Amino acid sequence: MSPPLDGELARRAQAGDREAFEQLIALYLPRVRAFLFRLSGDASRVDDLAQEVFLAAVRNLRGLDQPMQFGAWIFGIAVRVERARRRPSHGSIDQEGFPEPADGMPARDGAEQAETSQIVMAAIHRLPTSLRETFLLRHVEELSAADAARALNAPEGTVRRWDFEARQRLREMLEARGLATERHST
Amino acid sequence: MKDSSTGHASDDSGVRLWAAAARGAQPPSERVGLRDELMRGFDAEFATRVPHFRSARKLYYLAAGSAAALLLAWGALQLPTNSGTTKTGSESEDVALEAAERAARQAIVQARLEALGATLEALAKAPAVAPVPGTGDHATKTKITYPLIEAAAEAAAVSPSLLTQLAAARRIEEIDRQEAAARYRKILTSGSDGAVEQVAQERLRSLFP
Repeated sequence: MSPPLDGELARRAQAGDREAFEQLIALYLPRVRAFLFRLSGDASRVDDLAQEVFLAAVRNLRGLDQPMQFGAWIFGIAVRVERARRRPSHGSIDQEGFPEPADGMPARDGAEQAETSQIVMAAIHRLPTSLRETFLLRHVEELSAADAARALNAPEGTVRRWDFEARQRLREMLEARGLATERHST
Repeated sequence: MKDSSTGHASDDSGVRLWAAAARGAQPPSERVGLRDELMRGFDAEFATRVPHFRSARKLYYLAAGSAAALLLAWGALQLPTNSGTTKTGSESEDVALEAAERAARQAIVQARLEALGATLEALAKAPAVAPVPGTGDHATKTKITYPLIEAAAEAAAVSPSLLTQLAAARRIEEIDRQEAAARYRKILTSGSDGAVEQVAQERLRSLFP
């Protein structure tokens, strides 16, 4: 994220600047879609969820009192939209989550990388929700602990604890697969 | 990692490996037209905040489709000034534009409320995913298929999650008025959409006149 640019764009968008909002979409839509996909494991609804996230952002943009925090704010909306999707009242829900490699996930840049990705995502999806959200925000989206706490609407100390726990659990799950050290890095 | 203050993230090669692997999981291609849909949402929300372009205002009046706005604009042009003469030129035009803009805004709000009300009534009659007549099972009776909610939400220009909450409350009104009222009150405290809250308020009033 580049807060000064984001903040300026968000501030202009709050004033009704169409071009600024278009640039925010260009910056954040791909990231939010990827985040929602990794968080939910539901490829079929990624666009609907992303649409819901950005329309909620539009409706609440004027109330954003810290435009510089746009990144943490939009990821926070994404977290809440995805949580709402999992509530029973939201309607029927398709299969979600990342299967282990044997169940097949399309390879992208080589079979080995794809398999590593599958194994890691399957492990991330075995984490409890708050740990999964925290790990993705902190390490995949590279939000600071303070920004992740804003996005998760939780105290920073709690988020740090979740982060620690998420990494511990992932290490336990992935060590057995030989994925706990750099030597398997792609 | 940007924040190394945890003492773990930055020096953990395993974490870097997992994060890189997770980034390899990419969603399918973006839906064609998604960005246009988002920009339309922005335009709808900020249409009343276009202060500089009169051509945009004129288009806005046309989009609003409000005869009342045009009549008000025409009426405003005829307003007498304090000196008893008729305003002319840019001053009277500004007054007319402001009056028309106000009227158009009201017309849009009204149209949105009506659309939302009609949508809600339609959803109240829509078949549930798995209806169990007479069981009083709220959870079952409130279920509506997601594609239907999605289409209805688009038509009423509200978020699917808000519409789901509203529709669920509307569908159990006849089964349990107290529960429905509690759900409407919850929506009223969410503070996320004026039209939704107004409809929730109206439903509450109809439950307890």
